[in-house]
Amino acid sequence: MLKKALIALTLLAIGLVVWAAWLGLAWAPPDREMGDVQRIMYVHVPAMEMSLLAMTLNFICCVAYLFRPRWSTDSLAEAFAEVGLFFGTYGLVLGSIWGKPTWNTYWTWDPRLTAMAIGLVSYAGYLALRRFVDDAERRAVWSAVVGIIIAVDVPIIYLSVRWWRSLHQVQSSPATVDPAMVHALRWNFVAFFVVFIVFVMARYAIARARREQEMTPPPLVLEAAR
Amino acid sequence: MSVHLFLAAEVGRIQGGWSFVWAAYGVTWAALSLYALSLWLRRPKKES
Repeated sequence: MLKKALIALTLLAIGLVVWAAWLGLAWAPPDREMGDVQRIMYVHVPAMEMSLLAMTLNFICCVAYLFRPRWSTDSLAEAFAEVGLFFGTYGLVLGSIWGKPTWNTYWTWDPRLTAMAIGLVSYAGYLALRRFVDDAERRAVWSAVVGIIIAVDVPIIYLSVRWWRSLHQVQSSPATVDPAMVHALRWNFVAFFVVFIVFVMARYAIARARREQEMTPPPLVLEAAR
Repeated sequence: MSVHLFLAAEVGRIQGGWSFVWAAYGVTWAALSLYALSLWLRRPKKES
């Protein structure tokens, strides 16, 4: 049942990504100042939104695990961390590509960029911690604590453009953007959200299977118990 | 002089730039495909 749902969602995601790419590349008008380069927004913004969403959900799972320890919550936290790191990393690369023609540099230590880079390094550390700890219960508790601590960076990433007015622009509002651009951006958001769901479901299945494997006693122990 | 600069700024628009757009979309599709492949390769296998 879950496998069929995953296949159906994957096909839907592929169709939506193709449709959304056509909207962003051909259908939406070019920007008044940035011209066609602004079309990068349709892939950069959804990638960053998915990353921040995953980091927020990871935080919720970490808090939930400490209050009510369950393997499903721990596995879900692991899935959100990896998927968030994935979207954030390539989203940052896209931002860098966009930065060259608009800011004349691939990278600058702008507060938004720096906060995001710190966030990505932190989530890479979170996943590394999960690899290094063998004891499943200790790993779950330690990584939940680390997940809560590093989540402090999530609101900083989001609000950095308002707190420190620097090179990165403030979040746009649909009221100030061309409706055609808003339409294309919303379809891209929907497409990447479906991709996000597919990735989280697949990564959760991997984490759950590993946990079950860890909890299953080796065959010799089972033999001795009989 | 300042009026001329203001007008130039008003009509200024980045020309071209499609190589950056294709690079960004290429990175997106490559990243999504490779991560999907990594999830497929790590998928839980049923024990026989």
